[in-house]
Amino acid sequence: MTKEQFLTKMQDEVLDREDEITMESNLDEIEEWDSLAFVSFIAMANTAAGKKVDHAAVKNAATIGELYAFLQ
Amino acid sequence: MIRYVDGVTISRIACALPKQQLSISEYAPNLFDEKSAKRMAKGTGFSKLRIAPEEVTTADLCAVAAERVLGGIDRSRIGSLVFVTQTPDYTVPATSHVLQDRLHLGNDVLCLDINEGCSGWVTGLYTATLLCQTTDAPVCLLAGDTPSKTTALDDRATRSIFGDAGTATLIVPGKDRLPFLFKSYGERPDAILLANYYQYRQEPSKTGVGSLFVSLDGGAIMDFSLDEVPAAIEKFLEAEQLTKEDVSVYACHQANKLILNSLADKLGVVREKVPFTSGEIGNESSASIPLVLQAEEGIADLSRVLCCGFGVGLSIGICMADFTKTEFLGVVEI
Repeated sequence: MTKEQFLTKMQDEVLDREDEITMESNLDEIEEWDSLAFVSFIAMANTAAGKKVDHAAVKNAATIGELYAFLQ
Repeated sequence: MIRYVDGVTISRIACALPKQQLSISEYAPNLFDEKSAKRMAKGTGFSKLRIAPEEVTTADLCAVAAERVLGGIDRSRIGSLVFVTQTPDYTVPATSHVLQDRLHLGNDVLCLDINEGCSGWVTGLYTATLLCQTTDAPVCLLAGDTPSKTTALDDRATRSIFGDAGTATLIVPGKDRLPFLFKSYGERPDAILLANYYQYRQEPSKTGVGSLFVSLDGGAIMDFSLDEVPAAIEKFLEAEQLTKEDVSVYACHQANKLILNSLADKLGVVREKVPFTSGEIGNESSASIPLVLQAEEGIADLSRVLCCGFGVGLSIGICMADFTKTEFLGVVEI
């Protein structure tokens, strides 16, 4: 998954948010990064990237870019 | 391991729901305003939840559904009553005994409560079909839950998804041969957990072991739904020498829409084949599969249905059946 594809998926599907996000966006400042988005991210990582991510590490991530790193 | 039961027919199915239907902002205004409720409902797919009044129990819902499937049947012929629930009226005695009397089934009945949730209808169906086969007598299978009675008032995860429902399935001697597959992952009880009174007495806590309210770990359930569940479905199909396309409908436990869509994607089948029909009911625990079948009757081809219950345990129950000759008796509201 390219960075562009990831950002689109994060914005439209996982976060379901209108305001644009970047790899540098802080998760603390994204209102939509909640328990629903967390589970949705786990689903996206599994179905789109074939990755089973570490839940605690995802919860500790600070930026959108750090979430992208889990899919590599 | 595939298990087979021969010489049975799934004769009738009926469902019962509480009349009351609430959006989550109406149901849990302390947790959701309209905006956050809308967002949550878009993700889970549950725009409304069926919530039973305090005085209406799982047994009440199942009894109403049972009256439908037992209509016109000589009740003295029913040999066994299987009641699948995790919200029984009583811990002691088994609620199935009370239902035997309430449904006027006579005294020559084996009564069995089965403590199982999301996969419970399939577990109950296996048990009921075996009992039908060995006794050559009709079996009444009741499956349902009122999870609303077990959710903490301040828990967003459980107050936004669970709905109350009861179902009844009548199994009679017949000519069908049903294949089943079961899986158990008892090392993960914490994924969905509701403690017992003695655990609470030893070490009371707000969530998990020691809490008297159900708790769930959404991430753990998602992992399970996208790893073990599709793997079990693939194993079942392989053993039965079927392709994914041979299945006309995947009638899956209605965990939530995100899980079902992701499961369809992971399996590589179109989402329409894994229908999510409980958007105005909620996650109905062991009542979910009969409700999907009822919703799809007359719409989808029910000749080659793969039923898959998965969740609490963690556990998986899979079976395949032809429901084209099953009488669907509708949904009763109480």
